[in-house]
Amino acid sequence: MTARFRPADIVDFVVIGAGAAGGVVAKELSTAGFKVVVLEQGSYLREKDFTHDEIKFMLQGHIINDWKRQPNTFRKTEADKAVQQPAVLYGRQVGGGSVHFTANFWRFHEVDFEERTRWGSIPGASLEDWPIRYADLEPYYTKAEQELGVSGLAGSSPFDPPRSQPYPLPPLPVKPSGVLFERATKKLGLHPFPAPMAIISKPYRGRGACNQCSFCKSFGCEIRAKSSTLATVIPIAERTGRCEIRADCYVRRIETRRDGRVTGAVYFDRQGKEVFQRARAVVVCANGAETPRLLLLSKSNQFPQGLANSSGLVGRNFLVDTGVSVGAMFEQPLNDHKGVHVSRVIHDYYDSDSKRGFFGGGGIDARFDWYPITFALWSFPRHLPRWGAGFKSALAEYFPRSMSLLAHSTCLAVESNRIDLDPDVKDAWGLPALRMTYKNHPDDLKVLRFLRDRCQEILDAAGAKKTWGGGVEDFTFSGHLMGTCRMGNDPKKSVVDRNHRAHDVPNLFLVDGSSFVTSGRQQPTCTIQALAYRAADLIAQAARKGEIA
Amino acid sequence: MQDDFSRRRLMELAVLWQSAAVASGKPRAWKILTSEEAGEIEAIAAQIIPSDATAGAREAGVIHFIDYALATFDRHKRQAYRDGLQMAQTRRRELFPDSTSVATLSGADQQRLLTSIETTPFFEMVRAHTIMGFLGNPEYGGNQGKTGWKLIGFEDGHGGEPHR
Repeated sequence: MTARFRPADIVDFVVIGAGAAGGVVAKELSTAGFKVVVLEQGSYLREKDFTHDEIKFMLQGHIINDWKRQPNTFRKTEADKAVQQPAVLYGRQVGGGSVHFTANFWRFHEVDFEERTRWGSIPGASLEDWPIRYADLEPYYTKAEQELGVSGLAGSSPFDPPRSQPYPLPPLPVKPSGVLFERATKKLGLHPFPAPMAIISKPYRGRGACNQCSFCKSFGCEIRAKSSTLATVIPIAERTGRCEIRADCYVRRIETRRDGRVTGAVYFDRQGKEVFQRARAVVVCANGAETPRLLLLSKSNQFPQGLANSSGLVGRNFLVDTGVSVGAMFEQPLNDHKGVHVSRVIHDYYDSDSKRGFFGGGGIDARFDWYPITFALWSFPRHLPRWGAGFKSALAEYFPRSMSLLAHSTCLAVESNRIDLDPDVKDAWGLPALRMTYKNHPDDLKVLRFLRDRCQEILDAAGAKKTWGGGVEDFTFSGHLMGTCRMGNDPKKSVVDRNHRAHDVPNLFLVDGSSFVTSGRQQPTCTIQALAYRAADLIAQAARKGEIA
Repeated sequence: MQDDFSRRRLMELAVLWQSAAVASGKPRAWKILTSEEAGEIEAIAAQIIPSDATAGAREAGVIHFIDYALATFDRHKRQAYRDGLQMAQTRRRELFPDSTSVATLSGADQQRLLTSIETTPFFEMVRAHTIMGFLGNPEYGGNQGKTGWKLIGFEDGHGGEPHR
């Protein structure tokens, strides 16, 4: 029943990227009656491919972008020469990052959409309000939770924004780290609540419940309990008979015609041959780093600065996943590697507080998201021996007794922080490599140090025997990719309008983390998918009115 | 339920059979390493994760993992192993002029040798491979009998089934 289109067919929509956003857009547009081709650079993997192989998935990056074939370059400021090193990480197969993510699924709060109004301008930052408010997105948050399957407990956090419906599934079981965290935070007068997770705690819409196998972050779920777009909406899109998911297609440019409209996308197929898929409109869901790169790769006579870039803002105001982790070891075994990684969260420090003297805030969760090899190689406390009998006994002592607190926080938009094209380095297809220019706003680091100290207080109250980590420095790498084609009402100060339509191109839509105006407190996937539901709704309405063909 | 139970039982039997085959000491052919190189590298791995009250890198078959890695996904590291071993042998002869190999040094002397090269890229590479071979999936040749996982109390159930 899966549709097969020919490149010469003019389909209604080409969607670029089959990830968290692209999967939702494909499902919404195809069920609304439109013909859709989704071009995905990665492969079409199935549940049988999702083994518990730490070497393959963690060390060899089987389901993420490949820095050997797709090199990144990095520099701190525009005055520096960028050097080749991994800078961005994203899911690279059908389902994208929604396949390998930890599955934290927080809604943004009302304040996230109006922080400029609330706090005024911040020196050195381009802080703006979103052109939409939480209330505009609320029905789509609800739709995302209901359709995808999210476990959580409505009303359990006093800081939660209003919601029109409870979560469709009860919270997942609390873990030892969650019990220790809950006890300690309550002792400190804070408000722990069950983590909202895009993992189903009970059978839901034809899928079986999570069996607490422990392999969430960086792995695909072999029993389809993680609510990835691969497990949820993509099969629905394919069943319409109007949606083709075309994997192993690496898009190199979006084509435009003389009247300034887009006509489709050119991609390299599996054999490296260039193919042009024609369409009435293009929806780019390639993520907050690859979407601006693709627009910059698509420059033409009409768009000499890159497609949809009359503002010069494509790629700018890049937002990264600012966070800080503090590890802790307890006297008794926790065996916290078992089960879904996160079970309890606090949002007590979510809002900014002018008394702190800097902008920003964040959430803190209790987790164990390490696996045996990477715990020993990458997360092992630095004060311990690295080899020999002391290493072996510490490994045996620490692995079952450890957990961590992760604080995730605001990242301020700075115009000079950007994704663009490297002038020298090329990828395996001969295209300019993705270059990241990034230096944190000082307030990002201040809020991280503030939250790091709160983590330490909580771990002390929990009775940790040893703690480690908590280092805060400028970020050079990110797995949450946001902000590079921000939405706004003013075409001079934003790339897309409040409906995700490019200001410069009436039949081009950008729907992913690139639309974000602010970072929230990380955990962006829930908001990316709510935006995708809302955007698809508006795009379908526009198409029905004949506005985009 | 009956089906689940018998399937689980079959898996357990398969695991038992597999461990029996390993314990019988059936010699394995090396894919990449010479048996001399294998002996030297295994001696280093056995100092990184020693055998004491509990099994270490040696019992876990880490050396089989390293040989497999060099034959497959880490084939580009073969030269680094050969060069690194040569460097280690040079260092050994400097420290212990009368010695003939790393493997025949006393444990204390092996530790002295490794301490003197512990900041080299070669040592870091062997350390990483030893950890991977000790704690990685058994199908790569190491972590035999789930030696590494037993030490740290890790259990894996893929799709609800025990790991093969």
